[in-house]
Amino acid sequence: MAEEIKKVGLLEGAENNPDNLLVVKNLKKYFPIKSSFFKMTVGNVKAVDGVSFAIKRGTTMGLVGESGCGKSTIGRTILRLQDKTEGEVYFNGKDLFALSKDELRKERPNIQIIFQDPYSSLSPRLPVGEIIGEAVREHKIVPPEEFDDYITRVMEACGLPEYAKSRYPHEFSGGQRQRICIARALALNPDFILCDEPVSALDVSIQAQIINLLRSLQKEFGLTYLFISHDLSVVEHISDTVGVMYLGNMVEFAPTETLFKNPLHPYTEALFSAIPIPDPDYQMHRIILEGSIPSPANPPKGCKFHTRCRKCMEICKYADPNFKMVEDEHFVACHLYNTEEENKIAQRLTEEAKKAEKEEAENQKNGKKK
Amino acid sequence: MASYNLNEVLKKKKKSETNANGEVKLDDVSRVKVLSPTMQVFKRFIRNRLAVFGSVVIIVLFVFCFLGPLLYPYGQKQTFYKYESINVKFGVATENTSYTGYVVDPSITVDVNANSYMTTYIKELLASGKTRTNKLADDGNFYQVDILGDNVVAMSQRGDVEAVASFGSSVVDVATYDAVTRSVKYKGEELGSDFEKKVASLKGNSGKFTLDGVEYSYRRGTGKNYIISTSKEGFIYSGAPLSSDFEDKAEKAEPGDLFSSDGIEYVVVVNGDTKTAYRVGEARIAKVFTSYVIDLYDNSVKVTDEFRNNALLSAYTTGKFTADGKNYTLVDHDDVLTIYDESGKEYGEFSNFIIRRSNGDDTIEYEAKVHIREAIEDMQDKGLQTSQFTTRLPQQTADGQYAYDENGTLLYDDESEVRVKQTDRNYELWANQVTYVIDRFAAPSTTHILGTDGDGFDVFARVMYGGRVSLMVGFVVVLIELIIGVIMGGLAGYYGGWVDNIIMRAVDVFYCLPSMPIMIILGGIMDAMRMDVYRRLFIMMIALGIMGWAGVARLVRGQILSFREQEFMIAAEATGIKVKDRIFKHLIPNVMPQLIVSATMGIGGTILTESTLSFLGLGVKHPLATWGTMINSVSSASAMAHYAYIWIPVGLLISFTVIAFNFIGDGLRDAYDPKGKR
Repeated sequence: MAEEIKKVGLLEGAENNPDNLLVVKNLKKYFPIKSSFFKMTVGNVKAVDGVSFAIKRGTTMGLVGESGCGKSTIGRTILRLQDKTEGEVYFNGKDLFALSKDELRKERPNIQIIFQDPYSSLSPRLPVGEIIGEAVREHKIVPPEEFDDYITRVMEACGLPEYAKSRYPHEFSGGQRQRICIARALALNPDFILCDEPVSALDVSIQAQIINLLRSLQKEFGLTYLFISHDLSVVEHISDTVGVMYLGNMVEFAPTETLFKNPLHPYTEALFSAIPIPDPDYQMHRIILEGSIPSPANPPKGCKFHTRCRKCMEICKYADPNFKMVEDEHFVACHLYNTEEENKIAQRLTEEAKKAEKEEAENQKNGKKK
Repeated sequence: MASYNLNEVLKKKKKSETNANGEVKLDDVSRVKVLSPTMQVFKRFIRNRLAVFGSVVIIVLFVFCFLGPLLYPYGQKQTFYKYESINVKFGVATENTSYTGYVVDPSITVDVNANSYMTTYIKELLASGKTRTNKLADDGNFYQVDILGDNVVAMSQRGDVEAVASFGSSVVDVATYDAVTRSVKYKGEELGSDFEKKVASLKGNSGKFTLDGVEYSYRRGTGKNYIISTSKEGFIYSGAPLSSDFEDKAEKAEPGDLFSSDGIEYVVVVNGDTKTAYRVGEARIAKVFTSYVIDLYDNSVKVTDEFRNNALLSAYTTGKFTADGKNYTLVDHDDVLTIYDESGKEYGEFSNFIIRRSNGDDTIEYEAKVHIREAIEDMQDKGLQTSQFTTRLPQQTADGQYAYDENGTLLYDDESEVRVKQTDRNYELWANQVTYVIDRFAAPSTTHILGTDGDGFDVFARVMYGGRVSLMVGFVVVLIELIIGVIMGGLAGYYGGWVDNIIMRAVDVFYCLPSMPIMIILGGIMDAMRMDVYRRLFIMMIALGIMGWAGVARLVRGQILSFREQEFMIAAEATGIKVKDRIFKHLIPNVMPQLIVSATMGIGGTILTESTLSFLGLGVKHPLATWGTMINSVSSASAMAHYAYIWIPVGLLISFTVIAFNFIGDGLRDAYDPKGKR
């Protein structure tokens, strides 16, 4: 029952709204675990387990969460760099997973990606000009006679000197490389850029440069970003909306200001309490999360966060909370914000689950006795 | 398409900026252009001096090998000859002792046995010291053998033979006794009752008995007949008795001797104790036998039977004869009969020596023959094994024929020493001859820049032609290996999964294939099919390429497996680059350094493999040249020491090629590897 609400729920028809550039509906990505010899699937790593959100044109959505919660997997699945397990991704109203390979290839320039690691994401044997220009030539973004100038312009727009064209990536610093990555993405006239932790490998001063570059580019060209990061202050700085992920699920989604002012989910609270505040006199009230993140191959029953939640209730252990709008534009998945009706359902599910558990325990006991 | 046009936006922005500062223009020459990776590699490559040197060497080698032969006058299979004075076996002289018969009168049918016994008859006659004998042959005719002189024997037939008398101790049948009728029949006179009694008591098949002092012998005839005979002395005539003159002469005559009595000729033949006298007809010369060999002054003239027979028959008589309407004179020198023609010039001679060229031709000139014979006779007289004399001999060509000048006249050597050497009954003639021979192992000169090899081929020409094959094989084989290997390895590495599995199993199979036995079998098949040399070469290159791609594929696959998961590959996919470009523009360049090293190594290795195969007779066949076979042709220690001008240039060229390829490989690797220090 809870599943159903989730599925249809909030984003029904959102792909038809021209304001929404990217709509992700109930996206799931499982990685099968194969047995060593016979290659039988013995289980799944549920890297992304039903995530839905929409991004409006010209805005930036931040996606935060601790390491291993599935942020990057979402990114790559959206770009169809890997296959989905379930769900839909709409870009400009088109279902990306319904496209043929050739159609997809033609659609590629509109959806670009900037990688976390500027070292491995540039082909070491191509000169920078070729790295940026290869796809431009491939997709005929500009007429051939303007090609050279165009690359120069794009590079200048990304703060790269012109002489960099004939250089190889290893001759550049990390920040410059990241600019090359941005230039490569930008040169294709994209509508949407997926920034997969673009600054996490850089030092803070360069981080700022890159972030500001991204922002200025957005302002200039009206780009839409999905900004994946685990650095909350960066996300706060650049994002219009923020989604918080935990173990493959989105637990909270809201406009940045709302979220940072009033985090609703206990996990978000704990996360935000870790943001350092540059004031030596300020007494931090950190909420310490006990234990480590559970394995996505065998996630806990009920609310996935309940093992570490300080506000954990009985129903949290058995019933999966709905992802629903609690305030205006503020979505959260937590039993704390249940309506009466939802509570009842949760309660009932809990009872049932407990009963089943008991029976199983007894069965096991009997089995042992025999 | 995007909702904005980045190009236009940037252009506008740039315009306003440049207008403000007026600094760099977009069409400025100093502007840096986006170079394609190939151009970039090329740019980096030509900065490397060694690599440029290597390329120049390879280009020069290619020009040398592929264009050089067009300008060089000699071909690779052109054999060169020279005139050289070498001691050759010019001819052989054999002393002839066997008699050969020549038919004088073809109308006379000679008894076959008599003919074949002639040599024996002649020997008997020579041993007995007589000059004439008569032999009764199976055909009932007498054959008279006359020794006309040294080495000349005439054979005449005497017909009309009739046995006239037998004499000496002859057995005569006296009576026949029939045991059934018990009657005695006498052949001559009756011998009385005592005899008859004795006869009646005869037993057995044969025996003897004596009666009245006369010895009788008996033998059993057909049935119960006994034939009684006794031996009698004196003449018994088959016809009428002849005169006492006949009897005297007959008694004196030795077997085979001819005597005449009362104008009739008789011959006596001895058979055991009995001698028989035959009356014989006139002698007609049937054949003439001789151990002489005729040599004419002009050795182009054929000897006719008439000429030979008349000459031989007249040799020891008048010394004059006529043949073919011309008169000749014949003079008996010691052991030699010299023939003079009408004008008194030497025309030819008979001798016991058969002097022939070493190829069997009877073309040695008369004058030389005379010299040779005199030398041999001198040797025989003095009991020497060798002897020498000086004479002029004609020049020979490489195949032993006489050499003629352009007018068709025989070319002569200068007067030179001829050595005669006795072996058994033969006398070998050795002479220094200016001979037209294959110019083997000629030292470098202006005509042959690098000399000639063991087959008389020009080494320089072969170096060029051999280079074609060697370079082409090295290049093409490695190219085939690379093409197959890169495609297969690229596919296996990029797609992984079952594609990888299938391709890598194929690689395993190709790794396991024993290439040498396969090449040997292939070579055998191509031998059996008598395949064209160039097609062989082509098939060999393909086979070598197919054998060798597995290593390249494995190399490429390994590298690609490690690179395809890198983020830049995901980035390439995200930017919508085609799979083909992703493999060949992003993955393969990363494998290039290893590929180039293996390829440049491979070219050297393949040139050597090719030479091995050629050496085994599987690759390029002689007389087509390759560098490998050229070195192999002088690979023995002594040849290496003496014919350095053959293998040193070739060896240097192979080294140059391999080194140059390595330089190019190094340069390419550096050019492909942007991180490498130059």
